[in-house]
Amino acid sequence: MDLSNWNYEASLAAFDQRLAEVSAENLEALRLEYLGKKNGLCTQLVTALRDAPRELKPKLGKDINLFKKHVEAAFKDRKPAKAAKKAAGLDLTLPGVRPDLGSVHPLTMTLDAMTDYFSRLGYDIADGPEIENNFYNFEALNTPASHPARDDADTFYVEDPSGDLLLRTQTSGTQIRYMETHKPPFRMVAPGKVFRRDDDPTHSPMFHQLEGLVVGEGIHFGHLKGSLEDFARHMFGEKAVIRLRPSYFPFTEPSAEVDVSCVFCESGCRICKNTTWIEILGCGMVDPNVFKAVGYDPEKYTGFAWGIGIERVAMLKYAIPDIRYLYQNDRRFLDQFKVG
Amino acid sequence: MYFHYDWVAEYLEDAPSLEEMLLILNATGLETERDGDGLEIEHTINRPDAMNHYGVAREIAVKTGRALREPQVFDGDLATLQGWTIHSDDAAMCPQYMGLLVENVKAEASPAWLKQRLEAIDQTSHNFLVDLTNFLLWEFGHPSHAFDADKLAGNEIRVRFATKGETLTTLDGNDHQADGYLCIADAEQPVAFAGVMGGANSEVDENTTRLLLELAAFDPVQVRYTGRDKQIFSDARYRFERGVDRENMDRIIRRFIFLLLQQQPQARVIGLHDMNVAPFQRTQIELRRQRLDLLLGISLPDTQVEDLLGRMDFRPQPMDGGWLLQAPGYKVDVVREVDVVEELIRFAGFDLLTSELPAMGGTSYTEQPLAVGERLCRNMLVGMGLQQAVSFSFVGETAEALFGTGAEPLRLRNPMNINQAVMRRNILPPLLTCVAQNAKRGLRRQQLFEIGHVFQNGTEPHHLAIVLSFDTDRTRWFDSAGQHPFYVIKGYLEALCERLALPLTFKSEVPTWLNPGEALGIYHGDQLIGGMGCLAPKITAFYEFEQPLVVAELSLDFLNQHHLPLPNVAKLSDQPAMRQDMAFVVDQHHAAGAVHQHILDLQPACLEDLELFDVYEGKPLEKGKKSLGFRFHFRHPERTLTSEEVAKVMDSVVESVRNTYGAVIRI
Ligand SMILES: [Zn+2]
Repeated sequence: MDLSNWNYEASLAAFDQRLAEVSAENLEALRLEYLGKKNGLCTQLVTALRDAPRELKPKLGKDINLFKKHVEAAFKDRKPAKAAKKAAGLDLTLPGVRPDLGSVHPLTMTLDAMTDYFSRLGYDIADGPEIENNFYNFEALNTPASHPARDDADTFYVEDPSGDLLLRTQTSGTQIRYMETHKPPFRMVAPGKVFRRDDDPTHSPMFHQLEGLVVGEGIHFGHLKGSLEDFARHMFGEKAVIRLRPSYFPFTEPSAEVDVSCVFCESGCRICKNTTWIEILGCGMVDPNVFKAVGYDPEKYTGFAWGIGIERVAMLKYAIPDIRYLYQNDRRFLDQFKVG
Repeated sequence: MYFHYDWVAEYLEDAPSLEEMLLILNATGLETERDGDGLEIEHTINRPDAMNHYGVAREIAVKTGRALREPQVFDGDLATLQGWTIHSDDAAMCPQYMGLLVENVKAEASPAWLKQRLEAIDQTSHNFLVDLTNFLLWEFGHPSHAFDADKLAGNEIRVRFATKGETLTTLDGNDHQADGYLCIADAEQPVAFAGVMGGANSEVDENTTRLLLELAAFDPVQVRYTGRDKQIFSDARYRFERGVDRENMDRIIRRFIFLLLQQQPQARVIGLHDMNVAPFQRTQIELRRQRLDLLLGISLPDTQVEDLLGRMDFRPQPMDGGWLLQAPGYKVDVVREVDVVEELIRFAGFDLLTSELPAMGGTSYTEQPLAVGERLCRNMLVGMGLQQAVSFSFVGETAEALFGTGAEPLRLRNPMNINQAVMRRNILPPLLTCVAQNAKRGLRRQQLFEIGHVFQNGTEPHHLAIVLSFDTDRTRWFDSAGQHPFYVIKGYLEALCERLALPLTFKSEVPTWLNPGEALGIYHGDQLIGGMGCLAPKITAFYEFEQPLVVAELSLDFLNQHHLPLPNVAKLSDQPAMRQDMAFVVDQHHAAGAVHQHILDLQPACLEDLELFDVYEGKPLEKGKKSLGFRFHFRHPERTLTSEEVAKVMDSVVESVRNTYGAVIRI
């Protein structure tokens, strides 16, 4: 190689241009062209320097050395190309390293959606014992001992000397306790476990209820209807409407069953048994005898009460085929509630 | 309860179609479905008035304003029955007993029309006399009973409680001790359980020629007690325990005579004995307009109110601010003003009601630290990857006893099966039952928690349980490179304590269901409130766990008094931190936690944080020794620390740990 025509500035400019333009896959070839041990340009320059005219050697030596350092540094700066090559070796489809996802039980999800709604409307939330006595579960609720609803077949009794204890069949006892310790006006809901001797794909000996109670002066049936209508829209969507049918409960008068329009169809389906209505709760105006049992003046105060089965709503909402799924805690079941 | 369409339609002028009937009845609160040519009605217990064909028709008549077609009755004179005694020992138990004696009757086969009527509603035809009483039950809903008068001793009927030693064989062939139950007796012995079932000893048979028809009213509670204790589920009991229409009794007697004579003109009606010691009187009810409007939130027009009341036979009389009413006998549960309000809106229709949200004063807010704390616990455990479980509040006694404290559990008097026989005192017994069942289905790995009531000494504390079940073999528990599962469960508890600032301490004394040495007791102050770690071997064996498993269970009731602390932000120092690692070699029996606490108690100057980052045993350490690696983080709030300052603090720490634990510094 003849160094007489070699020019530092020109070579540097040419190199910078080529490096700027080189593609990632040709980068290594370019590096070998300049820095290859045997035939790289820099090696050739150093070799040629030995034969260069003596008077040019100091200047050429300095230029070649600077050039070589520049080239080396430039390739070093292009190293991200090497990192990219390494990244290309990842299997990006492999799963990430992730923490476990927990899940809230569907009954809690359903109950939370309800209690959150009522909390926003200023309802108090009360908890009560699951083992009740006859007074709170029945007598204060206008259900005397002679009432057919008192049949042993429905109620679990607890072994105790008084013979008075039972597993509550409804959370209404909590409402009685609440009325004993609070003065109207108030609004409250009582969620909790209740128990009835029943066991099949749609009935469980233990299940959950939410009961609501609003007491004040001038509370009337229209308030009950409006409250439940608004609640139904919250739970089942903006289009949901309700229908009241006369019914009977010992502790309300008048009483009604409430159906909500089927959210799964418009003209009838399996879930609504082709009626376009789904029965979801029972309600009514509080019976004056209940107020008397807790020392309220039924002439002064009126109120309404309702109760809803949490299992039924959860089963409808999540299409759960068997109520027993809810208490088996099978991972395959619970895993399906990591969403939602 | 099934009703035939044709039979209902017979009592109505311009009867609606079956489809229309369905809509009408459902709107009035009788839950009705179509079944073939009839109506399947599911009655609420307050509706005995609609448990018969006439009553169903009456419901339609009131709702739609149609006229009723009254059935034909015998309208001749009725002689008073002579020579018979009919007596009720207690007017409250049997206020009225009508006995009709008829002679020259035949227990022959029923005519075709009667057979058809009964067969259409799945009733078996026996003989004309018995069928007639059954027909009347389904026509008017008031059970009657036909005695063979020749089988009644002493021409006597007495309604009384049976005495000691008396027995009765009922028509279904079952023998009963009658002692203490309300019976119909002749001069010698019980011949029927009042309102429940007749006796075989006085039954009508093919030889019967003299018949005593009973039409009576009995105390519903007594009927219920007899039926419940004797396990007799008869149509009569079902109606009597809900109540009968005292105003309709005379008509039923006359209807019976009419139908009897139509078929057997030769029959001779001897006479009727109407023992009526507490004559029925209509309850007077004042219906106040103001109260009606207050409860309904709307004002039904006077004409509509009066029209409906009239159709229902309340005989409304206008009075100042309302109406004075006489409650008809068929509405057995309508005795108060509010009951009338229900009847009115039931027929007027709920569609008339407005739809409003109540605007109310007052405050409903009460502080609920337990509920708030529980929700925080739950959200946090879910956030840490656990799944919320719900298990039964009752459990088998054997499983529960393994967790017991020696005291007797609370047992159910009437459990559905032995695996639901006692109330849980700890959440783990039922929850582990689920875990064991799921493991047998091949689902070993489970990370569950549950929050709920348990039952102890008449109280219901709220508990939290955590179960971590791993998908490895128990025998290889220690083979894996990972941590012992004990530390995993402990980590959850530590995190929970930090998050809620719980004042809990962990000590080596554990509840009996845990395995000492692999578990810790959880204490609130001096009180043991739960535990965590590995289960006692007897429990592992009971549930046949093959996989490793750690649990925690504790009472959350202390949250009632627990207040979440407010973060109180400390000033952040801009000064650089100094880090110093130090490994102490100590005898194995010294607990890492003790050394850790010892260093903290020294309160080294400017120490910001102290981490235990390494615990090591093995070569090159001597046997019986372990190395505890601590990382000290120092920072001065206002200035940069010098290495000399830190070295000085470290020297005093090392000195103290050496003196207290005989520690050697590991280089
Ligand atoms: Zn549908």
